[in-house]
Amino acid sequence: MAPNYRSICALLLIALIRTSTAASEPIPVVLWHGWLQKVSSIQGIVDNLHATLGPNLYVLTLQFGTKRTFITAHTAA
Amino acid sequence: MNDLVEEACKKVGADPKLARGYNAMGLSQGSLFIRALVQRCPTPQVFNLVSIGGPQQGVYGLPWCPDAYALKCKLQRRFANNIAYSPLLRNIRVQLQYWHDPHAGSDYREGSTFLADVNCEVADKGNPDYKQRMTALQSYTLVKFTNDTEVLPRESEVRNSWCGMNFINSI
Repeated sequence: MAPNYRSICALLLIALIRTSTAASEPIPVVLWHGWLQKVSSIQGIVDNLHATLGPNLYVLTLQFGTKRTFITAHTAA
Repeated sequence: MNDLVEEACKKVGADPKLARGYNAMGLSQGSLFIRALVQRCPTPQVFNLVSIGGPQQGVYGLPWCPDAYALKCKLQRRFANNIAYSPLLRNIRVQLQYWHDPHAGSDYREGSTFLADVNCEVADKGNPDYKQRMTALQSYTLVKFTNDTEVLPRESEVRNSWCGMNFINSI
């Protein structure tokens, strides 16, 4: 992947979801990550989303864990 | 993989903050899995779907072996060809769930229980719900990394037609 993919992901999603959610509502996002993707890169994407969209954001992350289990995380600033 | 998509559907459906719908984004193989989630999971509604470097048409090469002509890579590919569609062996690595040998059409359609299904390539088994759910999206965006060395071939990342649909706004 390109080194700046975290920003690309965030910017793309921001451009799309701004048109689909009322300003007063939390923006709901589900992210499904790559194989064994590092926690730091996942957090980087979420941080980018928060930085641009503000705190009114809800993110559910899904990742396929090393033992074929789900690692889920929720974030809402 | 089918079990995990089903599990993800339950998790998303049980989350009250997503009950009114959500935006979906996948990274790498997660892009393929979240598309399967969109196609198979009837609720909640999905507004937009973004695929970042996802192997939408599967892979025919291993991430750590980008040189298709190197002997080591040829042997690994041949090994994967032999096990990817075997009911006993295809679950040993998650990448085998979306292994797509272009030279083994019938083996792929019969033995790929995940990719061939979500791409509507299983013989005599179409699923109209898949098309209906994808066309209900406000947008579907595909991103390809031109220097990607993990998804082989890279063109898989921007496959924009399947299940009788054709998406033209890919980048």
